[in-house]
Amino acid sequence: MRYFIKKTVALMVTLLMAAFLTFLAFEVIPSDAAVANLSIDATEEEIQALRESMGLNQPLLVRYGKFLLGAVTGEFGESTQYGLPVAELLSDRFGVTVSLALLSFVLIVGISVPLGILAARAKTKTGEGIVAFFTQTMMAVPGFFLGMLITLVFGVMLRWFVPGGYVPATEDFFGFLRFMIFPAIAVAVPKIGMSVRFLQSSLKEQMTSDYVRTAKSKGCGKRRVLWKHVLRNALVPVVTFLTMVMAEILAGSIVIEQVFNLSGVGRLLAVSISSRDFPVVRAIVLYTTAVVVILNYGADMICRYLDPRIKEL
Amino acid sequence: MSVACWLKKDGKYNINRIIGLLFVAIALLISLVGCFYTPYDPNAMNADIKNAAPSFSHLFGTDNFGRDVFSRVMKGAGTTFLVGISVVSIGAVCGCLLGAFTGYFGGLADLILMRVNDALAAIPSILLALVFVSVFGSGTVQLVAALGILFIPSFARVVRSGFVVQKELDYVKNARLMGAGHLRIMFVHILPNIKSSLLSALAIGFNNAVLSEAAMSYLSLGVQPPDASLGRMLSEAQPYLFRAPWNAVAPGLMILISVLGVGLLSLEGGEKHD
Repeated sequence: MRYFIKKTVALMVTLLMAAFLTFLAFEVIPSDAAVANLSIDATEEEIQALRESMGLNQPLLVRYGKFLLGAVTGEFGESTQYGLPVAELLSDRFGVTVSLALLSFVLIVGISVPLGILAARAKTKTGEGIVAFFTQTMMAVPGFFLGMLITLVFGVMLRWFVPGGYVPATEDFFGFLRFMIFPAIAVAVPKIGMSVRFLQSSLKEQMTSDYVRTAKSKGCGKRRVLWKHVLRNALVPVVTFLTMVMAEILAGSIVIEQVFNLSGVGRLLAVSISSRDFPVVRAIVLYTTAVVVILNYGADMICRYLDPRIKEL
Repeated sequence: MSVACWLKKDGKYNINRIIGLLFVAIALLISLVGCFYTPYDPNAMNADIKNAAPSFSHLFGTDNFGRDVFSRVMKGAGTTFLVGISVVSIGAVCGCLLGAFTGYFGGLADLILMRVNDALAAIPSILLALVFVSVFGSGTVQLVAALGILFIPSFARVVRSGFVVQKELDYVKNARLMGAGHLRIMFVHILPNIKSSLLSALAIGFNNAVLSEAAMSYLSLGVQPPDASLGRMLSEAQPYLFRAPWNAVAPGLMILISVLGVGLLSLEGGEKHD
């Protein structure tokens, strides 16, 4: 219970800090929103008047308070580029990014867990060498280059899907899969390489530990040792690792959405940075950071449940 | 230790290490030659040979402006590697100093810095780089600064954990008794002892920097036109993917072989140490 309370307080502090930093980062920009909204030949009085009406002249902390309140209630003001509320822009694109992330995550776990177990059992030098070569190759391919190759082969040459097409999973699940599986593969491949390598090394570490020797000498079968003992003990680092992978997927989808012309949050972020649409950028950065921080919190909770020996830091 | 000796492991040639060395050599050769000589001017446009297929006169074909793709890959690889090396240098020097002091002296500064480090490590670096670029504008210098700062924590962590272990060892106490100062112990005695973990951190850092540069330039937030960089070339190639796929394949493969080469070399170095 103490662990839970401590971690929750730490979560709150981290979130507040992240919000403050995000807020501050966009305060130091030389030109503020008022200048950005007006044409080049606006007079000083006009700029001042708009600043006043946008509340830019209030003290820093008051504006931070307003920003926080807005973040909690989902009010982020209007996008300077589209003239629409930021919340509306985000809610339209939210589904694409979440489904892309979830599908990639399923792919990564589904492929890398069996492969990782297989890799951990590779005993010969040649076997280890081959595993190392393939995982390194997967990690060396930039996701967006892979995405372009996939578009070229499956989209342009074989015509299996139309780049940029998207159907919500709730309407037509197979149509959704047909459009999303290719971007998901592009996001997943580099992370599969990473995960297999990680699983291999952490399983190997467990396999050489004393409790495995004891279990074996008791007459425990190889399979039982793997499933009942090794995998259970390897679970804690794996959960922590998968959280990191989830954060990496979110980052990876920023670029992959661009490659496949998917109108998701990541693409909106890239476009908004190019057009200096700061309300949108601020909202996306804050929400993404919050998701990552909360995921880490969740992972800590799961790890503590799996292994009650974990002490509070 | 001769090269042939180094390529062997347990008496047999190690294929991964040979491939790694080969790839790094190719990448280095292409980018170094590109600094002094390219077959064509990488920025010279020629409307007559738009999107020409690979041939003997244009090894990787030409792009939509009739620029020679091979020359651009040579120049672009140079830019990309230069960004990678600068980023790693900033990250490694600052990270080493930070990690050395916090690891050696410990205390409150150590506690605070490591908490900040953990928080930064949790957030994907490309997101932070995007924030940095959106605040300070896009361009090569901003990109190097952003990535360099973002790479400090990873080096600081590696160096710090090395120092925490090493400072308790007898040779440090010995040196202390001999009257060596703290700075001398830190950088003359301890630092060479964590060489191997630092080297693999450098290799991983370089690879991450190259991949991040490519991703940022692909989003048009890094290296600006008309300068060639591998990521930039990929983003320019995308609209013509069907008509001129060599535009994308050439820079993509260049990224692949250089990152894979460094990865394979660093991998073997790490394993040998274990």
